[in-house]
Amino acid sequence: MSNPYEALEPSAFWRSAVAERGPLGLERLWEPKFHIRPDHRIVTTGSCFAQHIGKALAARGYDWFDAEPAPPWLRGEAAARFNYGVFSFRTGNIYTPRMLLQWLKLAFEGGETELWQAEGRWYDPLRPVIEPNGFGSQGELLDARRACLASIRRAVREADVFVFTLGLTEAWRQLETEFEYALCPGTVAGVAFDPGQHRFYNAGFAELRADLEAAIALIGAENRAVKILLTVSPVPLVATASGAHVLTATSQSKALLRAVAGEVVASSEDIDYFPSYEIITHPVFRGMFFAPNMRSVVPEGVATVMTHFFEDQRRVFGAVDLPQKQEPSKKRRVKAGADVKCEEELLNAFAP
Amino acid sequence: MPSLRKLAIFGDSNLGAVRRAFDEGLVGFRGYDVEFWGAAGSEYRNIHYGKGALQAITPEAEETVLLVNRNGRKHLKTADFDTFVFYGVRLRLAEFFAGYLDLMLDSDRAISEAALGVAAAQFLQERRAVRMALLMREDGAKEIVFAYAGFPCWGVVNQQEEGRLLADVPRVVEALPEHRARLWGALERAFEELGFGFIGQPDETVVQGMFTDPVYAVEGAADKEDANHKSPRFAALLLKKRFD
Repeated sequence: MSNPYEALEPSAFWRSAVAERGPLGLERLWEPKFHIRPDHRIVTTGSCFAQHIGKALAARGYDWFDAEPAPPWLRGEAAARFNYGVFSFRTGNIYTPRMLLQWLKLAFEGGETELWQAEGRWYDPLRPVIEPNGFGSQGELLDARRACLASIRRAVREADVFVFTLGLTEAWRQLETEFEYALCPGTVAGVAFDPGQHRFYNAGFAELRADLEAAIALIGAENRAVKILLTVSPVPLVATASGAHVLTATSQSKALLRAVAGEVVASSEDIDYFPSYEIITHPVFRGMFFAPNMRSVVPEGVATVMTHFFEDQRRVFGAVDLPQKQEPSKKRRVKAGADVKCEEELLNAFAP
Repeated sequence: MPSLRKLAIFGDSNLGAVRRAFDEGLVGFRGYDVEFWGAAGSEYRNIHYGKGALQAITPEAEETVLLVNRNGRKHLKTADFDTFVFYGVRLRLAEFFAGYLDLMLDSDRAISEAALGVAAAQFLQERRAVRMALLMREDGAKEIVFAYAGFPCWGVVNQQEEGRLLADVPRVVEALPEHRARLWGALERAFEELGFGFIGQPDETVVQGMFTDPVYAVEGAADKEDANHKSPRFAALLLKKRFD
């Protein structure tokens, strides 16, 4: 061997791995560290792209863990309007590592946060749009928060795989308490923006990494067997408050998150990174997976991402038997003879 | 003397208790000229709505309907009555209560009033009787009132057996009046939004979370293992919330 590159796989070379294959011929983009089987309980949370992953896994017959299922008769669109069935628990989007850490600390260590009230309705600053019109009372908000935290505990403790999609570095925080808001105060109902209370924060590499590692450590403390799968959302920022152009701000944000994911993944065999971000955003794909607004990801993009996911799992760990679709749960059976009794009752009363 | 308003009481096998209550003078429907119309069991399922009337679609159902009505009314026309009471009509509210009382008794679960309202509306949309009533209202029905024929009676059958109410949700026996009031309120609002009246079960008749006091069980309930049908006294108590 005259140099170390001679022994490398074709996937290590741009010409053979990319240029000669074209965007739809790419393969081996992911060398998964651990097997994700259909019978594994998979938790998905994070930025909005995590929704696609959860739905695709469930559609394929994988055990996507809905730890906070919609209440009875709240179905389909109506359930989605109340943010049930979107992520594994009803937090809404968790855009930053700090936000994930904040939720986990509340779930496992307890604590209180500020609450918002406006025009007779109550809003949870951790998830201000979780109910279409806020909550009817403080008690209702706190009951819902308690249920969500219980669902997070259950999801973390019972998960086999915890998928977290990193979304943003930019956030808004409370000046004194450092509490991080899910959305900028004043952009949604609940509270007016107050420059004396609310400040913009754009997290840097060290803080992002520290928060992510702290969140993963908290998860690991509750569930030593869980595997962590990180992804980075390919969806650009909707707006930046950094002062930079939104395009360059997006680049900075995503580059930091991608770098943090890479560093954290290198630290443990139980943490992996799946390159959905690259599959959607890399110039090789020429932006084909974005809608005309160059922000929304089209279904073909999600499908391509998930094809790589399943194919690379199969390549490394072999084919899996997908479970048969479960029969709808057995309806409560009416006890034999019920109809007969019904007729008797009526006939007795109305018989001439 | 003012003319009497026309009242049709439509229902399933639970209609028997209303008829008896009326015959025994436990409820008089003062100011109304009353007619009963309906069928039980499988024949109830053969009542459909079309061409401006509820009608039996099989000869067997029609036979039952004529036995119940006594006025020879094969069809129950929307235009012929001022008020319709849908009594029983398989609302199956016990399923709704079981699901939500179980949720409310679990400190790790919660539902907002807004979400509960949407769920109650969805539950009602899935009831065949409600869908028939909506068609009647489209055809000009003036007033339609739903009356729930009551939770199963406690102590008549083993409710923990597979297929019975407590098999899946044993803790509902711990439900309190405030839990039930929240659900009655949601259902009442959901009915109101559809343009219907609603008579829920009087809370003084409820025991063990979501069961009817066995004193209101139909005669011979234990022998027949019939927890569902109620006495005329129960029907009268219920309907007196709306009628004299």
